[in-house]
Amino acid sequence: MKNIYILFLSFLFLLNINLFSQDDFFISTSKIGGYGEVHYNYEKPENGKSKNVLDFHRFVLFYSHAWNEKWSLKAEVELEHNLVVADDGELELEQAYVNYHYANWLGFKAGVILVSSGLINEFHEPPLFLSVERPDYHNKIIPTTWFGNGISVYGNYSGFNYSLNIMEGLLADKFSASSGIRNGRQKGFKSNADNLLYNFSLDYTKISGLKLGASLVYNNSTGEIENNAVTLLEGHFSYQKNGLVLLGEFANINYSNGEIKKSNGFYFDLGYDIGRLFEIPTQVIPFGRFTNYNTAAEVESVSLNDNDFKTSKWMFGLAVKPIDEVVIKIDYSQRTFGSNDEKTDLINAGLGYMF
Amino acid sequence: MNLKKMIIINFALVAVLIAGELKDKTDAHLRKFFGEECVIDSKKYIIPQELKSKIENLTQQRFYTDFVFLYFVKNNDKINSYAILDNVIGKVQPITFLVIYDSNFAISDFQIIKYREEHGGEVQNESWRNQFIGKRANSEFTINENIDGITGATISVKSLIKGINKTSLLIRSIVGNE
Repeated sequence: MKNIYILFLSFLFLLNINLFSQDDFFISTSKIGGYGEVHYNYEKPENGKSKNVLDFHRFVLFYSHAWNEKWSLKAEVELEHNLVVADDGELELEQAYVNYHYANWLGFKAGVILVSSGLINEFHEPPLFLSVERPDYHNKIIPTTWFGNGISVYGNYSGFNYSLNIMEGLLADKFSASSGIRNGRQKGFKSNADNLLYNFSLDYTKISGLKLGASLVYNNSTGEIENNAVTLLEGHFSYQKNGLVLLGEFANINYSNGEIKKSNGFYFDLGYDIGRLFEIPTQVIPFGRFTNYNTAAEVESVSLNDNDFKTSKWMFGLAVKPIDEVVIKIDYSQRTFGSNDEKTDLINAGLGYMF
Repeated sequence: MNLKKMIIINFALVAVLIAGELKDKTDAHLRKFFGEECVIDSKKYIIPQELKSKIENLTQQRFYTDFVFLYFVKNNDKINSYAILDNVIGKVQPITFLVIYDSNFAISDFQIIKYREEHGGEVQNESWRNQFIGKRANSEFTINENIDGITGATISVKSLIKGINKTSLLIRSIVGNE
């Protein structure tokens, strides 16, 4: 019996070799990071009053700790709109997970995790996208930042990044024609776990500058009376090399129940760092964007029409990065909305940072 | 196999792994790069405090610890290449990397020996690593100018660029007396 016990202990020891094999080239580290963005938004509808807003949109602190070279903690706390009172502002634990990184090809996470869908949900720091606000597509179609309680298996093999996430689902009763699935997110708050969400993503990144990928989200979303199964299928590409920024994303959401049967949309960005032409270290990126989306692209309803929420938008802007971590942005866009093609002019300016 | 043997094998296996997965991978890579017949000398090099501070100031990045592993590669009894094995911190985990220099201190190869983060693993891709080959130090590699950024790997990319800057300055100081 004693021998078996020793054998068992020695096996345990073998299992824990990772702790010991780090030799003297590993130091347990804690790190603080973060990002933030302050925005000025001007909006002038064709037939209406203009609106001016100054908003410290996001202030985020990131904390991570590595216990050893396999086990770590990553957490992100976000304050939105600077203040939390009643229904305004938000204080969120946007990410908080324990990470076990076994090897490049296999790792695990558990806690508050992000859905792996599209270019921005997982990589949403302001210097990483060109417009002042995140693209509308990442509000209306993919509800960025989309996070919740769950577990994840991920890896990287031969230029392919893959992840499978199983996490809290959406609340079907909160879906709407104007916001699609956005308000159905539970954000990790005592989440209903009757029907879990399944998310699989695959990206190809072997060619320098290129990211090409797709993802699937499936959730039989819980409703008070009736569930509503949603399937989000999405594709994206980004090519950023030699000063060129070319990217695009498209997605379609199918609903099994309710008035809305489909939400879909896409956008493309084209920009170029003209700072290179003058051989200055500051990146100066003029860009254009075209986006088209419809949160109620197909409806079965007496009161709704397929065109009621169709939106298209042209945007021209400038993103200036004096250093890689700080970005100053300005953009002008014109939005055409709904069945009457109502036009709205928008001007945004902003400052963002990450560290 | 009897129980005692199994226990001994278990512990022996652990001992071998402790001896250094990183060093074995580094040796294997150097031999692959220079050929089996090359002679490799290595030592743990403790960076003198003054030099350490000077390089840290120039590159705006701290050394991971106060030493690096230094390699001298000899072919035909002549030292003709050097290499440094060092760590930089990614999001929170260290990234262990190896930079090989020719006798003029230009980079002849750059390898990630071990990557431990969930995101940013793209820095291991050959197409990204190869951008450093032939370059020397500092002004010759600047993100977005002559080294591509990687979407989703901003921190690893920036950290490694600074790290290679550090080893490039270090090798010139140690060997070139600069």
